[in-house]
Amino acid sequence: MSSELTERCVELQNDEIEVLESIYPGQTTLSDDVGGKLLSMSIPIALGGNTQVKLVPSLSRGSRNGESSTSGQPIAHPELVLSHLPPLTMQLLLAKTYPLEAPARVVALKAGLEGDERSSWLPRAALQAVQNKLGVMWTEEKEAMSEGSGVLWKWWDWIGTGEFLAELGMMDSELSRLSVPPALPLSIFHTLLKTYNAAQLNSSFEQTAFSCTICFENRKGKSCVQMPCGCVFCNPCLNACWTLAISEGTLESVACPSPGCVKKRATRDAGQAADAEQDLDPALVESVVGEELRLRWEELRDRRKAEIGTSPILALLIPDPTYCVCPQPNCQAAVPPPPTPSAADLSAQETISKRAFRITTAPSSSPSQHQPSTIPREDRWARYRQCPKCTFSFCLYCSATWHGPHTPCSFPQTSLIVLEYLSYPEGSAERAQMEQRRGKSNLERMVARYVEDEENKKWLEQRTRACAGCGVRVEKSHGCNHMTCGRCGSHFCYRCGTSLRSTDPYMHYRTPGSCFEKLFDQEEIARFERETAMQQAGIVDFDGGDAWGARNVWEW
Amino acid sequence: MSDARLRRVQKEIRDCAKDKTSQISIEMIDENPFHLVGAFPGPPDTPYEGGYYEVDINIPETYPFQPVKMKFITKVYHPNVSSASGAICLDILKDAWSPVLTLKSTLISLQSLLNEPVPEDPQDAEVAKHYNSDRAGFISTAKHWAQAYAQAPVHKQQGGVTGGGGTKKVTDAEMAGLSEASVSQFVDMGFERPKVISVLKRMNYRGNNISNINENTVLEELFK
Repeated sequence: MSSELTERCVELQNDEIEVLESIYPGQTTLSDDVGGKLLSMSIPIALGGNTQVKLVPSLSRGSRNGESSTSGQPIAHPELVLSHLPPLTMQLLLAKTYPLEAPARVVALKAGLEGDERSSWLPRAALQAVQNKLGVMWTEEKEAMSEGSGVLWKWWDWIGTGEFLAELGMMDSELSRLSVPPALPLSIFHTLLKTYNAAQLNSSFEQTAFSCTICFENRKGKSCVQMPCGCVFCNPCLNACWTLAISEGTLESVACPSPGCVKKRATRDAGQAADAEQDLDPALVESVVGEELRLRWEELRDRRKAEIGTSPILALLIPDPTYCVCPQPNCQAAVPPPPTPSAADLSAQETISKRAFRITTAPSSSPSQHQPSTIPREDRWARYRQCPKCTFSFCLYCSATWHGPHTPCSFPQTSLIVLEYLSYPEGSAERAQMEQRRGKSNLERMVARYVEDEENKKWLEQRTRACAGCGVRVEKSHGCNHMTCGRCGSHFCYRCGTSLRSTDPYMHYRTPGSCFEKLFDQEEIARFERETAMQQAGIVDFDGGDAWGARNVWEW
Repeated sequence: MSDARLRRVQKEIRDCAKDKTSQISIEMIDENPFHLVGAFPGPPDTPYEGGYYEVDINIPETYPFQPVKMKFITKVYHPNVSSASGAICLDILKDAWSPVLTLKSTLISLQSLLNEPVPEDPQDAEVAKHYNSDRAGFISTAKHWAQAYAQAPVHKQQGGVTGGGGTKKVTDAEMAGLSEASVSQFVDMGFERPKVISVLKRMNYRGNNISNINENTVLEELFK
């Protein structure tokens, strides 16, 4: 053995190992051995995309694979979609004359499973076949060895890309079959493969650089967030976006901010919107904005559910009108219905009667509703509510402290008294009598509040329109009659209050009916006129302002 | 957060200056980077072709998480742009805004809005009516506006009047999208010309629509 040959070989070996180490840092180890160098390689397998993997119970030991033994029937082979398989680990002995004369000898080849090192995810026969093929590859490539291209890189590539699975007949046209190791129950094998795949996907996501489309900065995946829809944003941007949305209460923005996803949300119907908002995983929200804001987000979301639940129109559309809002001014948490079997039915009725209370302060319109005797005895507990947050117990009807199932609500009596008082002329004996009994200042306070409430109600009715979705009162400053609610995103007509389809809200104004061709009111057109005239005369500065949106007047 | 906003806006202005192909310009007015003027040429094969349109850009504190505020500085005759205020009716400036959109992409959207009006969702009711009932008249008025306000060159063949070298003076009736005949019909009855133009415009007294409008109704309006 000429020392020249060994020297040349050592040089080639060093080059080859150096290249491998720089491409796959941390995946190779090297030690000296009697016969040469001992090289360990751990080759992770990336299938280059999602691949269907079928798990086939090993034929000979089917009974040992737990599940299949319980029934005589052949069970359906569970399928997985994987893009990463656990690494093959290989120990090689590089003789002093590798690569020019001697091949690299495979000392050990394993397909260990993380979490269960003793099991192999490839059968022994398959590992043997891999080893044989590696030998063949060296022989085929031997000619090229003198040019310095070692065989290790080729081996790595052949294994690492999963090409070997195809060659061993374990994979064809994107479907791979793996047999379950005899010693493992199928479910554990399934879980181990899935866990490994998820960990690999996560770490490759963390390693990848993304260009955030909001701040235009390049960031490593580990400071980015991937949305369920697949869009990726950097953590600081998404944090800023959602923090703003949560603090402003625009919950529909706590979602993917990409234009496509925004548009999809804007054009879907109100009912769907409520469903989809719940889809976002609270853990994801917390990872972006922290625990405090995540809690606030959930609270707002629940409260919105409660508000929509009690809204006059949506209560009929949305299957869950049973939530209500805690009447304590500094709590106002969403209160779910009590967990009785017929709760849904009962509180649906209640919501309707409650609505009647809210709308009609005048008791004359429906006195029957105030008489508890018309409510079946067993149902009287149905109006009992307890706030999960502040533990306040109250009556769903009158929002006052719970007065027991037998006492009627005191709420309507207040307005009864006021109405009775007002029905007598000023200075009459009846008034004097009532003043004596209830206190003059008390009555005056009640009347003042009643008058104010009535005025407010009148003002709201005259000047505003309730959103068809959430019932919030909206005042139009100017613009067309097609309104989009700033709170719940529903589309509705400002003229008649009906809900409009989000996909084509203008159809309402094209179809003959009460609002046919009434997208703009005459006053609105006149206003355009005036503005144009004034502008032509140079009176008005060219300022449309930002008053495109409607001003919200919140219902109290 | 405001640092991120400043960085992003500065980058947007830089990128837009570098990009010579889009023909979109974004310029600062003074040293305030959050009040800008954007501009773009009117899209070809539209009445706005040859015109140059300036847009007032106000970047809110919460940009890019809330939409940028834009309105036309240059007067535009278009169903989705207020002919009086320049206010724009475009979904991405309202509920369809996404923080991924940029000043440039928004200006490009405005440019394509000029190309494809959405008359069902108008900002300017009168212009939309004109657009829907008398397309040829609308196009001619939009061209007059482009020439008068957006420096679009006057096309000689248009209107059929090729005066001896001098450009034809556009009348107030034409600027309002009305025919001279309709206007003078009522002016001759003794009504004031601006009033006639204003009423006829509001009533959409144009093209085929004239046959739908009773002359007495017009007179009633004029007497109001």
